[in-house]
Parts: sequence; C-alpha cells; structure tokens
Amino acid sequence: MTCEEVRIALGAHALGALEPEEALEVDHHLATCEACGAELLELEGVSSFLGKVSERDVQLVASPPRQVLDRLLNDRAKRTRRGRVLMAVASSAAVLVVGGTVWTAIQTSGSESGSSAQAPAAASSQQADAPAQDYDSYDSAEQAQPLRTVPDARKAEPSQSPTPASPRQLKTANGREFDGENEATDFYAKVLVWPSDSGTELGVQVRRIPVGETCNLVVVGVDGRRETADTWVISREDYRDKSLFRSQTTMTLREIDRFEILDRAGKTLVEVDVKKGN
Amino acid sequence: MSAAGTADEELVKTLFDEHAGPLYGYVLRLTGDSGKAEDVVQETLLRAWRHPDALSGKPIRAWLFTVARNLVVDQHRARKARPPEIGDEALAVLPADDELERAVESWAVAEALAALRPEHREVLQEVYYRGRSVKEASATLGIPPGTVKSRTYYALRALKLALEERGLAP
Repeated sequence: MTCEEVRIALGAHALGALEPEEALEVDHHLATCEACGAELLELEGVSSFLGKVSERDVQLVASPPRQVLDRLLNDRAKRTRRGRVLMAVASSAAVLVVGGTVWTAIQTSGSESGSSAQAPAAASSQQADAPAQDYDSYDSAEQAQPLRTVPDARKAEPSQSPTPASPRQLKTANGREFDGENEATDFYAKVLVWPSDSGTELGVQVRRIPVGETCNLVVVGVDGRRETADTWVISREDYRDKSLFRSQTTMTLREIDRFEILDRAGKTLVEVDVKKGN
Repeated sequence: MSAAGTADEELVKTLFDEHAGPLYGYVLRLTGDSGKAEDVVQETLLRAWRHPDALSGKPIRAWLFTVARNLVVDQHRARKARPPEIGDEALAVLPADDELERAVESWAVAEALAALRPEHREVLQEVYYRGRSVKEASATLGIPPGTVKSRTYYALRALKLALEERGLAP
C-alpha cells in the first residue's frame, strides 16, 4: 500500500471500521512509516471526542427551537421598556438606614451600576458599629425600616457617600430627634437632626398630612433667621414606606429654634420645636 | 425601528445562533421537558442580552450554562412550593460545578459535530455511533466503500478543525 492509500483509510481505521484484511495491511505499513503513524495518532485524538456525545445530542444542537428566537425578539422589546422604568426608580431612590441613634444615608447614584449592592453592605457595617455608642434611643421598630428620601433632596455630604470614612464621621455625630403635633389638625412631624460639616442634616417624617399635600420645610433660627430647606409632595408610598425626607441646613443645632412645615400657601401644617424640647 | 433597536435585535439573533443549540441540549438534559427547556433557554439568552458587560472577557458559554442551571434549580424549587428536602432526587441529578465544565465541553463537541457538512456527519454516525464497518456503511449510505473511507478521513480532519475553533484541540 502506498502512503496515499493508507492515509485515506486511516479515518476508518481510527474508528475500527476497516475490514480485518485491510486493517492488517494498514498496520503493516504503519510499522515502517512514521508519518502515517503520526497521522493515525492525530485522528485517534479527534475520534476520542466522539465518545463525549450521542447522536441525539448532535441533533439537539443542530436544531434549537426557532420559536424561542421569536419569543426572545418580542420579549426583548417589552423588557427594554421595563428596564427603563426600573432604571428611573433606581436613580431617584436613596436609601437611609437607621442604626442606634446614628443615621446613615446612602445615596444610590443611578448611573453607577452596582451602587444598590453597595448600599446594604455599607449600611449593615454601620449598624454593627452603632450599638457601641451611647446615644439617645429611637423607636426600635422604625430603626429597622429602610427609609426613602425625596428624590430631589439636596445632597447631604458626607453621610450620603458610602465611603469607609463616612461611618466613622457619623458615629461621632450626636443624632437627635424632635417631634411636634398640630393639635387642631392632628398633623404630626418628627425631625431627626445630626451635625454635618456644613451645618445640620435633617430627616423629616410626617403623619396624617393628606397625600398630595405640598410641604415646605423651613428652619427657623434662634436669631429669627428663616431658611427654606426643602419642598416635597406627600405620596401614599411615603406613608407605606415610612419615607424620611432628607434635607439640610447651614444652621447648627444650637442655632435652630424650630422647624416649620408649611403648605404651598405658607400656612403652617405642623411645627416642631427644638428649643422647648431640648 | 431605530438603529439601536436593530443592533439589539442583531445581538439577540447572534446570541441565539451561537449558543441556543448547545444550551438547549444541555437544559433539555436537565429538565427532560422541551417546553421548560425552551423557557430556560429564552430566559438565559435574555439575561445575556441584558448584561453584555457580564459576558465581556469571560467564557460566555460557561456563563450561559451556569445561568441556565441556576434557572432550572430555581424553577424546580418554585414548582415544589415547599422547602427543598435533603436527598431530593431531581436536585441530586443536577451537576456540580466541576461537572459544568465537562457539560460545556461535551456540548461544544456536539456543536462541532453539528457544524460538519451533512455527509461528514452522516458517515461518522454510521461508522462510529452505529458501529458499522466500511462495507456495512457503504450499503446503508449507498456509496462505494472507497468513498466511505475517504469521507470518514475528511470528516475527522474537519472535526479536528471544528474542535480547535472551539478551543478543544485534541
């Protein structure tokens, strides 16, 4: 047999399909031909892969269900829309977690992927640290609630940044809580305050003020200064989620006399006295 | 449709063309139910489409198989509507992580075989999978024995190339 004749038979030989006489002839040639021997080894290497799959496997792979592609193309359009909605929610939501009397706010920045995953981690480490500190106690049922801030709340650095530095800063902060009630209307507000580099950070929670009402938070100083901190509209979700409206003022706690929550017309909805309750 | 929409559609089609076959084969083996397998393949490819960044720089096939496997496990648990029990038979047959690698490999082999020209695939089916001799295959396929031999040879050479393309060089 010539090399050429042998070569063409080597595939069948590697799979053990040659008739016995021909197989013998090929083996005889291989005993003296190194090149053909190398070729056989190579083909045997390839054929060893055949045992990893069945005929049925090959059929399955060759015929993926085309209807899945159609469904994918339909689904894709739908999910694109839903994805956008979710993205919009994520970019406006901020998470605030309370641990002990220390308030830690972690602002999720919607454009930055993975920020929502960072937030719980940062928050839980903060919660773990907090009990060591001796602070006034807050309602423990509400401490466990993740609170949402108003989307347009002003940035309250540094506590909104989930960097390792901020928990330490906050740990030394003396968080305080004040509340007030409008006896005539039964409207209630609670204001949480803690010092920041630029003044005081605020968290406001209201009750019984009607959904849809516009609230203007005004900080009134002991010297009579009035500073409008923030405006927001109360939504049903705010009550359900026990949202905390985040804000800040340039006044220090010492300088603050009271907080006023006014409606759009400037009428007082509820007043929270700081000096009286301090 | 917008340019971005068309690009999206192309990406979905590409994902499907390149991976749906092996993925479907793999999932069908896990679920034993073609309808469920289709759902899992659909969801897996959709996730790949939605997270292209999760795929960049990673072996995409292993990622897809992992997602699909997890979906099968989740589906199974959800269907049971009760806490999974230790020694659960159906969960026990699901592959462990090291088996995942083997699954990825063997489905890539199936894919390489499926990519061969029909006459090459056919001759390997006869000679290897059905254990026929050259003479028998010649009768079954209605081609001369010399053609069975040469086709077998070229089929294995082509398979070697197809395996190499998939990072499975023998």
